[in-house]
Amino acid sequence: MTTSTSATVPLNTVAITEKAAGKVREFAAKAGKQKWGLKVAVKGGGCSGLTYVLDIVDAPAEEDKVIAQHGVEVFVPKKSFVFLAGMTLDFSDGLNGKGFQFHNPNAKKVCGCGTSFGV
Amino acid sequence: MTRVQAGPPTDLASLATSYHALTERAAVIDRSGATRIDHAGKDALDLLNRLSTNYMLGLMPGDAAGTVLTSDRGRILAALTVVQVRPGELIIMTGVPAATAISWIDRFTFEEDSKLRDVTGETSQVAVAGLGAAAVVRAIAGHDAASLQPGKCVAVTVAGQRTTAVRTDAPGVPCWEFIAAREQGVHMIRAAQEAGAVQADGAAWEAVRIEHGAPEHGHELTEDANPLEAGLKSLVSFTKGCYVGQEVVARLDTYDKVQRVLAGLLSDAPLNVGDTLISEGREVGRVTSAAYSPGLKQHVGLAYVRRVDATSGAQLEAPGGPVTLAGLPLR
Repeated sequence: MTTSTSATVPLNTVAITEKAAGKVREFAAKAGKQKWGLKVAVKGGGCSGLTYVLDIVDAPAEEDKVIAQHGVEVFVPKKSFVFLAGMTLDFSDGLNGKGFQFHNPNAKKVCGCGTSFGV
Repeated sequence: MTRVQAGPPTDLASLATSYHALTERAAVIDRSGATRIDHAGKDALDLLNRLSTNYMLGLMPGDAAGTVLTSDRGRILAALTVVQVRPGELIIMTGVPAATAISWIDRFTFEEDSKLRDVTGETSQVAVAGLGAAAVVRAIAGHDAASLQPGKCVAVTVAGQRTTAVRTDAPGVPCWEFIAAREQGVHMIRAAQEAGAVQADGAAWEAVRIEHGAPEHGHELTEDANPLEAGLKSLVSFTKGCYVGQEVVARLDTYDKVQRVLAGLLSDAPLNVGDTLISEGREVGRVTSAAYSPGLKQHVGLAYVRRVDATSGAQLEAPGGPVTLAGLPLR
């Protein structure tokens, strides 16, 4: 079952759904982390030019944008934020689930795997 | 319309000398006009691996590998030879302006430790090539350089100066390229000449390149073509996973959708870049490279030709006269 993400996210932030936040907390707990945040970033590569990066990290970097939602602190590096503004991070599970999903209004092209996009 | 007189170029003697040295003996050529970029940083190879067609993570010190930067549509932006002489020290050799390659790589650089620097102006690049080139390389750079296999590199001393030797076999014949400080170029050329190499000109290099079907920037390597059309399949990894343009390139290969192939041309009349090639009243391709081959005693060329028309021996019409389509290499 997939959480609906039809609501528009303001372009000065990124959003994380409750379901995605719960899954992230699960991963952090498994990793035994006490103080942590979810880094959401972009790196070059993937079929379409840019690839999403998710990582559980201890703290934000100096210029990261920090967004708290559903009990998760999300850290977005400044250069990545340009490509992620307005995005919603969701989680899709079940037999046909796709794991973390990125609903990014900046993505003009998305490759088959769903983790690479072009702007 | 003025027709160019058919026949070999007027400075044939000079061309033939250079060509003979480049193919049969040993030639030395100043290639400093090509681009050289220093690529430093612990993430340099990982970045190149994500942005280009070949598997770069296996590049070890002492290796040199070709790869292609492609757009997200799988089109050619730059063919690169990436050289790792010592751990973490990469030199990128390419035929595109440094700014083109650097800006593309930088565009996809976010948090990686990657620093690109155009060193074209402060370095020289000298090629020693030909069937007899190994003896010249041994004389000027020693056994380690002379025994290099294609795709290998080593740090050596030439004319008393630190130099990087890379075995590229670039134009289709055994070829060592030496990269050193700018002022060192003239000394490397002199040393090679003293060891028996003939200083060759660009026209001979071009003729040999065309004969071997080696695509070049500004000719075959443009954004109008993809690496499979250009005959660069050996520089594409189909197993390493994603890189920019991978989905398109993989689909072209998997579903056998490559529409054009790089073909050789033979003609008694001069060919010109841009000439249209006609078969049964239809345009089937355009000339991308042209030269005179003293070895074949014919004008030679390269063209992207529609795959369905790419039959070796097929007769085509160019503005200067009839052209025979030929498989590559031409000799």
